[in-house]
Amino acid sequence: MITALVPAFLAAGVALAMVPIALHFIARRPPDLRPLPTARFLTEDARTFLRVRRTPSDVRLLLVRIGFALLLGASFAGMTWTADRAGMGHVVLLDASVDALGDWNTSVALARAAVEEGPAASGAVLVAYGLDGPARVVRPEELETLERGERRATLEGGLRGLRAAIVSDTRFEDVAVTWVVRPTWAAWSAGLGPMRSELWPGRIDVRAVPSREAEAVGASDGAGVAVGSTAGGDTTSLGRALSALGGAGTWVFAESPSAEALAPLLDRARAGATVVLSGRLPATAATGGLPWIAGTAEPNGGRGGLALASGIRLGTALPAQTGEPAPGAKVLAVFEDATPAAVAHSLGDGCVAYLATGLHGPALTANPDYPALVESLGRGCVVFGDVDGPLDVGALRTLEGPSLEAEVNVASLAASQGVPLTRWLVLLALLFLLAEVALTRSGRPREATS
Amino acid sequence: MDSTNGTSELLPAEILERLGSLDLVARTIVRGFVSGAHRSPFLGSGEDFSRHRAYQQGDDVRRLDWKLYGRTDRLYVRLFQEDSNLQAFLVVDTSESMGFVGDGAVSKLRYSQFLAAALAHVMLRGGDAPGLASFGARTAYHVPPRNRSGHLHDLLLALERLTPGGTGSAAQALDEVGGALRRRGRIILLSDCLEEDGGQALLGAVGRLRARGDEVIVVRVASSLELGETDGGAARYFDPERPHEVTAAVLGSDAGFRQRVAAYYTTLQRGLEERGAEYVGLTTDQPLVSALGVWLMSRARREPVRS
Repeated sequence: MITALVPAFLAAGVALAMVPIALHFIARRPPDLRPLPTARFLTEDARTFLRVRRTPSDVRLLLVRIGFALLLGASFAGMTWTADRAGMGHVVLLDASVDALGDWNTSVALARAAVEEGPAASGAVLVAYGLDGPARVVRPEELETLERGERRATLEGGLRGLRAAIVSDTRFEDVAVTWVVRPTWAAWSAGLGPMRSELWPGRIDVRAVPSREAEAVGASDGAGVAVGSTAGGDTTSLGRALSALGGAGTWVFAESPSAEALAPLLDRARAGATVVLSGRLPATAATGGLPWIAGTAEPNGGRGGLALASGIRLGTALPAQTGEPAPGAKVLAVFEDATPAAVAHSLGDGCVAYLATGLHGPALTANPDYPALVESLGRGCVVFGDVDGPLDVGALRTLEGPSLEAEVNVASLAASQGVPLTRWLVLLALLFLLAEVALTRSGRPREATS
Repeated sequence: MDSTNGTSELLPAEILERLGSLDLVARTIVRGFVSGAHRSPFLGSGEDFSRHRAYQQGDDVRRLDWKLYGRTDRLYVRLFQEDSNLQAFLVVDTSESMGFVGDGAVSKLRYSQFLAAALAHVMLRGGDAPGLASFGARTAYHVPPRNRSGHLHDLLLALERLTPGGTGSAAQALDEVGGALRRRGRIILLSDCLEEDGGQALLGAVGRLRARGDEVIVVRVASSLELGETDGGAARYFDPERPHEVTAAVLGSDAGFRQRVAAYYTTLQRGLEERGAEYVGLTTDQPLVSALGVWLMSRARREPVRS
């Protein structure tokens, strides 16, 4: 099967071929050259030169020129030959790296279930990555004895392995993907959010292997949420978001706390709680373990929306507080102008996170990704401390790509893996060009001579 | 003498072309022209009596019929069927322009080959000794004038090998051929007669041949297209012998073309006849038998008596 990486150039070649066709039809050409022994008795008739032919005078030259135009377009189109593909396939991507060792039985069970429940009637293919070698297709019965890798695998590596394995090891035309993985921040790569759709341009059904850390959080004392003093805004949305997260441990939220209210909150953080501050901080609270050095000026004007590390964007024209991250603080989110918007810093046994805008404003609470923001703030220090914590909701959504097509046409991906035809097409185009030059220089060889 | 037999008279050149060998072509043409035992249509000094003619000053007194003088008291000379053995040369134009096909089925050269083959056949049967010469890039003698068995074969073979090419002068060829004849003879020129100088040199050469007593017959072979009798359409035309001179014209709408060509040939014909030569104009779309028959019979009717 021949595919084109840039089909627009093929169309351009066809359009270019129209040029010689038009020129050959509309060009005024002198009439045929014919012998006539009594030509000396003729008188010149200049009108003879004005006759326009209704048929192309030089079909051979015209065909050569059309061929050259088409070949030129095909040369730029990146034509490749790939093996024929057909049918719909279901690929189960399995993380077989050292990360999966502790929960390998769970991973295998999930993978087998995914293979059996797959949407494709034509069968499923299991692709394992994180091995010492490249990602490859494995049979389900191999899973028990599979020699897993000794290093951690990144999520980006998994997606790259998925793409390579599908292109080289399967013959499906369309593919749906299920991913059995323990999605942790440790496996997350910088820039994965923007690259996600480039690495795999389709939706992925992520079957998350339960995280031990998440289990620990879920098994906490259920202290629930303590919402501190607020400076306006609706805290109902915050409570709804935390409920959606399924309980988040001892997280304390406070919006624009006064100097007096801030001191006990910091004490709670030192005692092990996670304190999430937002809005305006008192100017006198520039030190004392806060992750943000507050400025003295009034809040800045709108700086656009927020962008989380997972690539999720929220809100528009948010009013930003002045200030800058304290030394050692981890930036959790930025405004659209790339200035820090949320930071986190450990304090004692706990953590203090700060959002440089109001957390309860409708610009954020109305956004469907609001829980992801809340979770990012609440887990800020966990990520900061490089603990093997699970991905937050936003990162998971980025990984899943719910807005992408469920089935991906593999032919277009495989085009870059096929046999490139460009050099041959260029060579052929050059031969046509030489033929065109030769025919043009030889004049009009088809004219009658007798 | 019956000149035609009804069917072969109508055979066009393209049918003759399919017959293949020139020998067969010649026999086919002559069969259509001659029927039964035939004699040379030329009257002369043979042994067989033909008719009487009134004595004219200069006639050979040995041919006076004294018995008739005794009966009629008037002088008559006796004319005999010429046993011929006349030396003749068929001079075929093989210049580049003779390769022109035009709207006919065969080229002018091919038509000339047919005609020369038929004439050779007729002349040999009449006791003449035809030879063959051609001129294109140069004058070439292919077959000397003879009358013996197998000569026709040699002559037809040489005819068959003629191909068009080059540019030649009919006048020069006639001068050279006339010089090659050891005695008075007959020279038949088959050409399109398109001369560079308008035919003046040709007329001069013909005049010189006639002055030494040779019989000269000029057979002009042309196609209807180059005579302007058919519409050739719009094109850039060139003379095959002068390919660099191109004239863009519409052959059907150039009213003066036909007149100019006709005037050229009329002038040439008049000049030839003034010098005592015979001119025959043929086109390649004319059936050969018909053309040959008409010409030979007309010659026979006005053949000057040789004494």
